[in-house]
Amino acid sequence: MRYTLCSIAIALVALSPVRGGVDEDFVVIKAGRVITVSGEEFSPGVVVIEDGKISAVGGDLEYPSSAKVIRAPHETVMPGLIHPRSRFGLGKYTRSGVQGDKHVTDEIDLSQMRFDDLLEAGFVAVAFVPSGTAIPGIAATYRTAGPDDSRLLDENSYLHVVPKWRSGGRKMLGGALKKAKDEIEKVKKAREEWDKKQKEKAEKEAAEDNEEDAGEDADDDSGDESYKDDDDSDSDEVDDSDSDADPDQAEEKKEEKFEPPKIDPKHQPLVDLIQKKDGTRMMVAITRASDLLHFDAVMEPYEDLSYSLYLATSRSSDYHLAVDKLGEREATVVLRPWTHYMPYTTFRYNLMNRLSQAGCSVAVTPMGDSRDELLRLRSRLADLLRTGLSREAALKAMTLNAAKAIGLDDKLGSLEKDKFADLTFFDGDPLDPHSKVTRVMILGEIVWKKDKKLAGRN
Amino acid sequence: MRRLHSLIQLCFFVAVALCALPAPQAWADKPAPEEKKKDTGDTKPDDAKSEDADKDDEDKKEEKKDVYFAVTGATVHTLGRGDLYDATVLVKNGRIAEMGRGVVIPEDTGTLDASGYHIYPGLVAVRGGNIIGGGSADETTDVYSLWMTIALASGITTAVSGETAVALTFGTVEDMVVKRDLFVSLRYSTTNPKQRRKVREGFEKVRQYMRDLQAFNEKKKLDPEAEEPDKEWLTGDYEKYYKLLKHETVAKVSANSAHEINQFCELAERYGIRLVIDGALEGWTVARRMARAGVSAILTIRPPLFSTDTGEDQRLNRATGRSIENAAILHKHGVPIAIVPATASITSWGLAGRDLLHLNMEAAFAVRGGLPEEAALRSITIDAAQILGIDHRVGSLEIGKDGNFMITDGDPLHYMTHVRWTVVNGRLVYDKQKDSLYSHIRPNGDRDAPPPDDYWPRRLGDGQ
Repeated sequence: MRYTLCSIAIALVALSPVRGGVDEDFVVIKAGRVITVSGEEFSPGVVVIEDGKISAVGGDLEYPSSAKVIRAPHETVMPGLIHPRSRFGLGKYTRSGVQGDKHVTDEIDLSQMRFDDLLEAGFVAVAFVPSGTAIPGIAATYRTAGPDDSRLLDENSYLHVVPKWRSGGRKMLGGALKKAKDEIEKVKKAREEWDKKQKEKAEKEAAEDNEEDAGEDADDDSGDESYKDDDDSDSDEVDDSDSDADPDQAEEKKEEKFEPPKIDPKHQPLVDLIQKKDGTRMMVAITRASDLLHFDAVMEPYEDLSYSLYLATSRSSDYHLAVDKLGEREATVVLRPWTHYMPYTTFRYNLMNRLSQAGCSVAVTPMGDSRDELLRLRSRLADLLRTGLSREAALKAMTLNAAKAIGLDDKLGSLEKDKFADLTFFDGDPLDPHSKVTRVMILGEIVWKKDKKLAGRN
Repeated sequence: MRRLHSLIQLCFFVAVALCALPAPQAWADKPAPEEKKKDTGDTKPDDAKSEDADKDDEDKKEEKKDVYFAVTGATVHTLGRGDLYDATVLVKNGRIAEMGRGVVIPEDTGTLDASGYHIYPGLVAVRGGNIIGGGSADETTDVYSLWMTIALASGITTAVSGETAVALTFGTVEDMVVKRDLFVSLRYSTTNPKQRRKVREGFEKVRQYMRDLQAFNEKKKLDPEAEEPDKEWLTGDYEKYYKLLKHETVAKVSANSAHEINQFCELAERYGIRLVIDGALEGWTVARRMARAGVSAILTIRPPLFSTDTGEDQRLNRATGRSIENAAILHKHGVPIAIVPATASITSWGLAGRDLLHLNMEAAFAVRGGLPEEAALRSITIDAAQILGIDHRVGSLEIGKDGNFMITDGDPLHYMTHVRWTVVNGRLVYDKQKDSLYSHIRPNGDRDAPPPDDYWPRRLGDGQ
């Protein structure tokens, strides 16, 4: 019944003589296979998109007859790939020290950058990080294509933290967090002091009011206000020396005007992090298992800070010693698709598999930002499948968990209702090294096509 | 009458002996504070309040449960308190709680049976090299590194990097620091008279200040309005001198020739400061002087040969230069010595036996030069700890000290001896049979065990 309805709807669309009858707000993808990542797979499957957002996914769905239909019977559709840590197309420079006021957005000029390589590899979003060591700044996430005003997905994806663990990295991070905490204390103290002074003043005034009965000249002094305009909360002593009735006016004014002492902008992101402001997180790079212990020691005084860990790849990395610890806390980890070596041996182990089995959210980042490596990401993951990584974990690593690592898992990374319709089409299974990306959709519109033949089909 | 007297005396001795019987307890310098609390809690009457208090105590205990570790059946060489045979060492929360026979081991205690083995205090490496990180080592050390394992396999449990002494806590970064700010540096060059004068003037100035301060303190008792001597200038180098003069810290200086050593001895004597002379190649020629000045020395028994590439040091390459008897002569004169190998790290060329993997061998070479064996062992344990100012925590086995020790299959100065286990802060951090490093060599300490299958090189008559 439903099928006939659909076909009638489609027929209507096809028959409608006026082209303007197609509702551009509705887009329907009818694909050979739909991988939702978060749930089941549909083969064939339908994705209904409304206003650039996914409204329904299923095997067979109803949709408005006026919807624009994209037919992809021989293609697989899945959420677009996400690059959680990239310097694609950005220049080289060195930066050190705590630089929380630096934003990678300042380096990026979209009109000067070509994202074709990323699109060809199936990426829909990429988190750019500022370069350098210590705390080089704040990472931002961009779409790889789409309308200009929608390109910047999140200008505050995470604070990029790259401590030099073997030489003062722990001191740097600990010191920065301590400084941030001190800044919070500073504001709190100023606030308390201010409150206290206000209270005292109110009491004093109440006493005065009682003495003066009707408060003779309370209203007369209103003209003096202008004289106080530039004074902040610091100038309490001036108030005390004023005429008796003035504090009344001044107080009211100041209650609106309490200005906290300025927080060091370099440490502002850490202050936000400690105060658990929405959308703040940091991505901390570690280079070996021991660094995790040092990191934990630094984080001990701070409860539940939101962070993900980037496990840098090196020949002698001994992360196998940290797998249990990371699994226990269900950490979000970002790593490269690589079979690690046991230190000082030629024995290799599948770290990504171990981490995902231990309970971590594992996100994958390409081995590098060259075109070859971007394209090779899926085949490298396929290689890890051979040594035990589950298909589900591999798909999640490219999409949902990568989105989680950059704090966008409520908007991207899987085919769920109300998430952005930023999708990638493949001509085969995404984990088949021979399959290629055929099209990339962003906000419900095809923005990249592999060849013109496919383009003609729409 | 006399007989009665002697009888009373006998009774007295017996009583004293009985009192002294629970000997291990008597060793404790300070009874553990937790135990004290327990006692007071038990003696309290059982009213509601104390029950509540007990409950609170229990809650706290649940939060941080005491961790015990025991090694049984070994010969314990305490270095300073004699040897204990077939004894148990009980470590509580990383510190030695009890030693001796008949030690009651609490339930759920990790126990290691070391029958037939010997327990020695863990070795102290006065220089740490690559086994720990640089700077403040507790923050930079890779606690899973191979170098640390190798150091533990050679019995080292404490190492120094920069001015921080840390315990080699394999696999954890907790409780690493033994002491920070071990030394201050002092430049007092023999070739720079201006600098030397400046140092002496600095010391004089600070010493004058200390005299003034003392006078002020006396005066204050009579005249409450007495003026305190100005101390705003007491920063930087002056602060360093102040600390040295007050014996709050030790200066580590580098000196090798007799002339340099003499200069430093004079400085130490004049101002009564504590100096550690690092190097002291020609120390044996001025041993008496060093002893009189109260300086101590960090020695290398087989010092590196000076390369002709970097310029041969003519002062030292002479008849009065280096001597294998250096350590023995200095010890004979009462100079405290610590011994380190030529390469103070784990290196591949260290296979030749001159790196931290062979710290004990370096000390053994001092024995070859005439140093008594016990002194040689002390020079890499308790004496080294004393020179570093950390002998209250490490270097010997005493109740209350850190639970850092090595368990060997023989005399640590013997070339065949292997470390079987190493314990740091009451945690088993090295097990020879579980680590691939030495597990194939004389497994389980059996010196006559047949060679393993892949024994190489094969000897004639092995009969294959």
